[in-house]
Amino acid sequence: MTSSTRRDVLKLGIAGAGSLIMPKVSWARPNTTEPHFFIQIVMDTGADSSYMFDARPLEMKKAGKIQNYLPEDQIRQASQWIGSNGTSCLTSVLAKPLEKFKNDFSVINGVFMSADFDGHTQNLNYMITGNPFGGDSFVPHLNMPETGRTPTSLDCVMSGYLNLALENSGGIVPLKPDSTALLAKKLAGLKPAAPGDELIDFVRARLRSSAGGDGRFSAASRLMLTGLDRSPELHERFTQVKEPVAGQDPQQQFCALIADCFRLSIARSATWVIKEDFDTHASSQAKNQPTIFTNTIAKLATIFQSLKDLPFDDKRSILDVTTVMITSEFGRTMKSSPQANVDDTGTDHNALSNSILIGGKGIRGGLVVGASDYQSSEEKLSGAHQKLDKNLIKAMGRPFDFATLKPAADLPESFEQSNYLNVGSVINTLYKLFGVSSSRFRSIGRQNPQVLPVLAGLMK
Amino acid sequence: MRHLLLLLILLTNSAGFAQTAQFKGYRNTELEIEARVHPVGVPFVLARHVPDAALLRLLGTWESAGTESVYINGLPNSVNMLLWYLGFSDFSEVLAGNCAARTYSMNDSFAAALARICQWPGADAKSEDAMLDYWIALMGYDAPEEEYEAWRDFFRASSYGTQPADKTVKAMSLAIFLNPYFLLQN
Repeated sequence: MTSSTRRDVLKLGIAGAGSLIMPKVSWARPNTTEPHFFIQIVMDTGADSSYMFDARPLEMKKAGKIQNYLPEDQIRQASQWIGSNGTSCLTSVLAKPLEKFKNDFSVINGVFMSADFDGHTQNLNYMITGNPFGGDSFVPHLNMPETGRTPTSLDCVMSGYLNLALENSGGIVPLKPDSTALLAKKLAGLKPAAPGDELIDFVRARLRSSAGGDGRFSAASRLMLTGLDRSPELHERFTQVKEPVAGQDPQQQFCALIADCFRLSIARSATWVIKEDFDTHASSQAKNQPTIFTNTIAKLATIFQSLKDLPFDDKRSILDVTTVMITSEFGRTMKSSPQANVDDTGTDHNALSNSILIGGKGIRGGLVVGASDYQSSEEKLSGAHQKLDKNLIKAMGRPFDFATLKPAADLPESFEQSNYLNVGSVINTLYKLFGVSSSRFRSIGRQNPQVLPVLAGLMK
Repeated sequence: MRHLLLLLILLTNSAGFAQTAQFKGYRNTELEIEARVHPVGVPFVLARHVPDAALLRLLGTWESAGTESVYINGLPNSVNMLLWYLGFSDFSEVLAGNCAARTYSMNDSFAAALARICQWPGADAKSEDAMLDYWIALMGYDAPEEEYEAWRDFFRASSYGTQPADKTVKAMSLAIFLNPYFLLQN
């Protein structure tokens, strides 16, 4: 093949197709505010909060209303977790290891996730983006210049994978302690791809040349250019990440990696995915829940302790500068069907009531906020509940008083979503804490959208 | 008219414009390099050029999610750009090291193209033939002509024009590997 023939082939070129709107990337302003980071711990696939901070009494199991595979004597050991705000919640004995951290976090029960869908992907998307089909995750918004802080190199580091449809995931990166430490060593021996280097400037020029169009390829070229522009700073920061300490468990090692990422401004947030067999549709799976939640709570206790022990600087721990949220995409039904035998049943998805633990920087710890209903076998359920849960196998969040953060006593006949504590209020509270523009706040309602209230009483 | 209006509405609906091209992924990139550089049957292993094979997942890969497979980590960001830079800096150095002595297993076609460009800064290495040979040997026909021309002109006119072969061939290779037409799905 002659040169001219190959040149002819090259002349054909490649055309991009389609068009899209890409957000502009803003560069940092000087950081004039306090350091503030975020850790999200996701119990993936729907954790049953009745084994943690939204337990049910033994009489409900005896009445055939709810499964609980703890031995009877342990079910009896469920006790009131009393909030300093005068609200309490029945808490499983399994949650005891978290008692020493009681003032570090607050419990939010009865969180309404959604009425119209209860699929894993839909509800994860809805929790993280506000849209069951996906969109912008709230996590990168916490790292935007509008908050007044210098953005970190990455928005978020993750311990594992979540099945989400995100449009702003460019700064969300999975990292593992071992491989990150090896990366740090290797990067120490490599010159960063900095501007001013003749070759790197040429590479940048080619990216800029491809980045000017409206198509998908141009959009990706812009992301490559931004990534390359930011890589020298990330390069230098990564070289300082320490090796994981041998003998520490995975929770401690990932906490140490998170601490390095926060201290070195590598990331603003971290997402920890707890992968246990929470999705207990089958009775065989559900019967394993005592073990599942023993393991999970042990991990949470380790995480809290690590965050308290790890220093951010000579005055503050990582927990002192970090807001922590622990949640799942929805709760579970009390049994799989109305006819199910509670000694041999699994559980299904329940988006009408969920529990969220939230604590750390900016959050008043030790509170109990909201509540779910169906706390006894004889409880009269509202008309709203009966409409949304015809089989009466779900707990549902009670109507909520946003001023007092307490459940309201009324039993509404019809369902009005704004009367309940929606997950969007928790996200809006995080937005408020971090100084994110209120234009991003979550709302409900299509015709006349209502911005969901911030939980002001939860904030310091 | 209504159809045109609908088309216009669809074209301006931002939700429909949420797509960005992504990286081909580390595995597809391995296969392309393997086909272009290696003898038949000899795999190219990108993991040899990064400190930990686990990091390759950050370059775009398929992941099982229940009964589905989803493509993850394909969007460019500062971490994967850093990793591509790290991995291909290493591999480019390996290729350039073969200018002095051939130690790397490569197919005859690539070996010939490399041998010619390794005469840099000699006149033949700077010829249109030799440079185009090397460009196509690594990039294939994935990029438009102007990308080749920009690459050719840069290496002839920049300080690399008088640099020794090992340094220049490393830079030439790295410039190709970091080109969006090499890394991105198209």
